[in-house]
Amino acid sequence: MSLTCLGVSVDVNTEFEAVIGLEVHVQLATDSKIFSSARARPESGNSVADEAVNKNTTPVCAGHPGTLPVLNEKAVGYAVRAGLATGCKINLKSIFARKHYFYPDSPKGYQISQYDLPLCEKGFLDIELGDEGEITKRIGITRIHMEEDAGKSLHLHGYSLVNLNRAGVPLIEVVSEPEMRSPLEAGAYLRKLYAIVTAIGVCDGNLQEGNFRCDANVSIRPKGVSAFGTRTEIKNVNSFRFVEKAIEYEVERQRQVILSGGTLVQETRLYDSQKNRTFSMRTKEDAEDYRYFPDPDLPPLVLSPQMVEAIRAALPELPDQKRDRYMRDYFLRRLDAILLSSGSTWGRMFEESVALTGKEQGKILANLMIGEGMRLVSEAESNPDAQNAGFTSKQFADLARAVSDQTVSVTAAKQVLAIAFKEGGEVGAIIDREGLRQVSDLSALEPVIEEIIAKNPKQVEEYRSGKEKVLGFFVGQAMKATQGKANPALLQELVVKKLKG
Amino acid sequence: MRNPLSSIREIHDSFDAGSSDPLALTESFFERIKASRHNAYITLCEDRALRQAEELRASLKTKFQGKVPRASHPLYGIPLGIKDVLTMDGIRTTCASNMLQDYIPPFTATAVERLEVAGAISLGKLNMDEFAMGSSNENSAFGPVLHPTHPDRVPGGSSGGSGTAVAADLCVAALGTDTGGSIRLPASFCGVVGLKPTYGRISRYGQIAFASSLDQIGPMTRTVHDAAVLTRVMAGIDPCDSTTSDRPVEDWGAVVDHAKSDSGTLKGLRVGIPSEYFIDGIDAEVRIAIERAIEFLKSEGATVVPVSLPHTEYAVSTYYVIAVSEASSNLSRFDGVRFGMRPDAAMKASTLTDFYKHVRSLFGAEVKRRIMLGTFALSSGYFDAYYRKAAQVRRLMREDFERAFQSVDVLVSPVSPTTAFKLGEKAKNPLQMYLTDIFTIPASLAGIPAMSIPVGRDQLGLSIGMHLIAPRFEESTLLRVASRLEGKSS
Amino acid sequence: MADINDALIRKVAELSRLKLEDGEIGNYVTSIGEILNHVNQLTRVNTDGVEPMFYGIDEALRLREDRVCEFPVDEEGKPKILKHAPLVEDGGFKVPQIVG
Repeated sequence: MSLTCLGVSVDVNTEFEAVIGLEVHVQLATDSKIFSSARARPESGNSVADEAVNKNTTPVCAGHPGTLPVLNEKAVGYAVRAGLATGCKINLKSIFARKHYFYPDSPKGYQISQYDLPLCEKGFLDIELGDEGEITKRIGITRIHMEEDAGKSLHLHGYSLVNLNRAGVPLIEVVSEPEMRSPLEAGAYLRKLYAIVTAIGVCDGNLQEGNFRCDANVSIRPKGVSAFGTRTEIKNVNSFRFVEKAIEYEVERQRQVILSGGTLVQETRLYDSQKNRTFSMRTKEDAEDYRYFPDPDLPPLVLSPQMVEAIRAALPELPDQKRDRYMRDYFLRRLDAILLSSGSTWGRMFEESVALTGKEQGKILANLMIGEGMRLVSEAESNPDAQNAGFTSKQFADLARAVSDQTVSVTAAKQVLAIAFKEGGEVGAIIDREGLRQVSDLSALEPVIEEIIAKNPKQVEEYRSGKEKVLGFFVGQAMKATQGKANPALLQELVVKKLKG
Repeated sequence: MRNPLSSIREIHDSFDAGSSDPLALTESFFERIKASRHNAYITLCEDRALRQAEELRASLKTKFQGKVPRASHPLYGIPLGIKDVLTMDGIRTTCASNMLQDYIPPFTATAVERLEVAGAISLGKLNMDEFAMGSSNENSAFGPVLHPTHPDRVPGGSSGGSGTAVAADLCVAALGTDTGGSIRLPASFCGVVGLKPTYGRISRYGQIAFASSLDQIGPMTRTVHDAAVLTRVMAGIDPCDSTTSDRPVEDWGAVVDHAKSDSGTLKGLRVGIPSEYFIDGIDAEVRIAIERAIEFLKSEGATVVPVSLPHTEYAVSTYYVIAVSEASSNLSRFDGVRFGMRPDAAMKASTLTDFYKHVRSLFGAEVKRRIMLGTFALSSGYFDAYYRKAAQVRRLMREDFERAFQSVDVLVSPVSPTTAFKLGEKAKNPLQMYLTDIFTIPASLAGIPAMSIPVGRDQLGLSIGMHLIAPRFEESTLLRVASRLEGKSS
Repeated sequence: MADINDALIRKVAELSRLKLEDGEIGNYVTSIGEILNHVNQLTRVNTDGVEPMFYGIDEALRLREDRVCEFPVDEEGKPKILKHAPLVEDGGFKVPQIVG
């Protein structure tokens, strides 16, 4: 029996490509909620879990009869900023609509969102692919609209408890075009979007607290076909890695369905990160009729071109600009510059450290972080039982200075990092305590080299007869004799001088 | 003793003279209310009102040397009735629905708060049609309100409790709300003054929403001056309601005083008579009373101009699509989760859908009908044909008015084709009931101010109201005309 | 324009989360049918190019400052908003198991 997909016959050898569109809910970092004066995010130092259930719930959040929404101007400013940072056209007039569904975490029976005329449309962001990040692909952003978050239900045995602290928290929903073709591209898109919204300060970027949540629309088609297959929507995944894995799973699942002669259904699926699989939540047939209509309580949002231009003029440096600056000013490799401009913890650590040392140390800092620093952290992550002190930007700054003024060798610097990471402490103190100060003192090194030359006449002969490779042997021996503390450049220079002389 | 049916000004004079005081007056109203059989009130806030009254009585002596501070407190010691669609912190607010039979709101409606800050005393919460849906006040979960003088008849709705309370002297003045005529119709039936201000004049914060783009709070009073005073106190921008206008509030009391004293005030006023409002089916006695009032306006120097509002015949259809659509949405919040009633059976529901159905079975039949109509009009596949289409016709109706107001200053018509009808007369036929509002609906759709002013009585002694309609924010025009009509043409 | 029948009324009631007894349906079919029949007169109005009027006012939206104003807690520190709810447990609004 021959199988077809989108009018093309397919078999196990057919190459399929994924078609992926992402909808990301970004929590805007305002103090109060989008339509009420209730607290939107915990006071600094607190986490969402610390907040008493329903403490941040006013009559407006709870949808009490007679309450009305009043829009938070900061949320609007942040949404415009996000639109401008992603090349969107800002609609000077946009409309709030009611989206109806009955659910206990939806206090009014409808969510206020934007439907027909969103605040931002037709933007894009560039993702970097390839081993060195050398391939740039532009992904279209269909729209960015403002909306309110829902509450949260805690499901217990036989009943549920509704907490409305999150109800009414301001969100933007960033909807991409279905232009990603692999889980890797989807991951790159999410990381770039995350880098942007955190760089421009509109989102706190706390993934654990749901500041940045992703729904993925996934379909597949035989390569070369331009029609779209039946898509499924994977809901609410809040880690970049899990989005990639969920899409990976979903692509393969859809391929299996097609190759086994089955039919794909348009449906919503959930991802179980522990089992690494997606499962069906509801199909399109039992989807709600949302009955969108313009909210009569909220007249159109009208912005002046001057206001939009003022926001544009005040836009901070964007990740792509930062990447280019790192490459230009610190001579970073493109991939490293991408990594450190992405709004990650490392990116912030890098910026803080550069601020402490000055930009001359940028390259050294980047090398310390991306090489040894990241290795230590990922090692620690795979061994969660180990107790680690972690890094501070001051440690990196001090260490970079020590490397740059040759107080320690790069090799020794790695040892310092490992100790600092595990035990904490001042970099200078660690260097002294561990005796890692680099020997750059001629009077200390010369006798060592002279002794090695005296002990190895054979190798001296080889060198002098033109086998310059032997040089490494002498340097290595000298390094060993100084327990790695010798300044390698100086050492090499001295060895050559002694051998020639 | 107090004089029955006194106006705010008369009461203030009696306070100044020491012949009455806020407490004595308030107590006398509670006596009357308790003795009345009109079913006008759902909830009395007696303790609270008496406390307010006592404080006001004391301050009158200690702070104000026995003289009512009319400028800072224009409603000093004035007992009011509040339609039960408006929230009051700590006072049961039912919206005349079983859904909210024990609901005690956590905040006070802006309009009520402003009245109380101006010195008003809230006597209690007035009966109404459930969720303000009705034209006869027969749709209340707390039973129908009786007409003030003819107990076999309806007071009109949905602010029926307000109309009866003001006319039967169960308060000095009352708050009503008007979505398609809910102030003007009961004002007309009960023989009191009713003003629906321009949409956006008075904050809707704390008004339990029926149709958000139409709902508007307004006064129901015994005199035009009282209506002016209440409106002035309530009007103005409110940070809690994004649909309030920043138009400056006028001293409408002074407008009324001036119009009363100046017999030439209507000279040159252009009064429009919309041909579509003088149709067959208007009760002969109503027609005669309105025509006589028009003659009176002419005698005062006004010129009468025939005008046309061509989309009037679509008003009821347009209104019902828009109002029920918004209502279906506004009433989605009644789910028995965060407030309101939850029948015992709901907790045993096997599905969430069943849970909601148990809770929402507390809505009355008319409310359910309108929710279903609205859900239908907004549902996928019908939105364009119903909701959107109606919103477009609404625009055309508004443009009708704008065109008419290029040549006239005010429009006049009957408020209703008939006087108060009998209890049960239209209850079985929703469409006939909806058509009762045919003259009041267009101004609601256009968002423009309109008023009902008594201009006569039929042979049964039932009041006939004249309907005045003015352009946006031209409440002062309505008040000027009403001031001249008041007490003169009947 | 729609044909108003039992099935449509049932569907709309379901969407509205309203429970209708079998005996009520006929009444709603008749009254809603009659009203919609009247409403269908709107098809006679030419509304080509007419901007729908969705709002009661012409002014644009007014915004509020991003300022927190919390709703009070009672003497025991419990959020007062809970006092209005039919059923509360551990600070949450209690509803039956949310499935289906």
